[in-house]
Amino acid sequence: MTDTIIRADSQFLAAVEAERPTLIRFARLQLGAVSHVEDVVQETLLAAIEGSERFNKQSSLRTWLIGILRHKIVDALRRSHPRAVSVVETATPEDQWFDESGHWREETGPAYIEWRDPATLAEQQQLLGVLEKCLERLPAAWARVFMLRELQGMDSREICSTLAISESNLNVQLYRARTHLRACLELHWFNCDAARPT
Amino acid sequence: MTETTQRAANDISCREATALISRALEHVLSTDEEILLQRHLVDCGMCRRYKSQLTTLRTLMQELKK
Repeated sequence: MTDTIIRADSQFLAAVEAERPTLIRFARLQLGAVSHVEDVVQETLLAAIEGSERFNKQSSLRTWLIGILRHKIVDALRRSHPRAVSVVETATPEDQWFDESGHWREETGPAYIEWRDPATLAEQQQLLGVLEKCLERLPAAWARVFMLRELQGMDSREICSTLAISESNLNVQLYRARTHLRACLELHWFNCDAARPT
Repeated sequence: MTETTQRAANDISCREATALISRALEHVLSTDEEILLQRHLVDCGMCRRYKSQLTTLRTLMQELKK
């Protein structure tokens, strides 16, 4: 490993190291704050340094590193015990969202407001920041499934195989993640629309 | 059975409708599921908004990737 670092160009090493915070942020979104995020990012940086000749400079360094990180995240999820990613049911979240007859509870259902598109680039960035906060608050099991689907772009079959879960379990977790995120975005962004300057 | 209870037996709740809306983002629903969902959406503004919000959520996740 020392040899590898000596061989790699020092400018390249510095550029790779500078991307560490971005990679940690990306990995944390998928693995959660308490997981082995630092280890996965470290593995990614080492793989990048060892394979520096494969960086073709057609894509940005960040895009290339995130590509490596995505594989490392999937490896980490595959290594983790299946029980660690299954949901332990206590009370179902659906009971908070719907009444006994299965209809939306007024206080937790979609409010009578329009989800307005961001008016400026800055507003778009703020909205994405709120989304990240909402993602961080997702229960870990839902977050893993949701991120593999929406951030990694895996299809249902790949996710079920990676996490060793059934398709019906996958559907329930995706549904809960989406419903939770919808409510979080509405509460912390779209419902505050009137208070924001346009 | 009265007409009202017959209609109720064929209707789905918001809980069932929203689960179908989420599942439809993964694969095509069966014809029966699609009919039940569309019939529900005609009458339910909250579930129509839910459906549109899930589409927005997916778009925002694409933005987050960039």
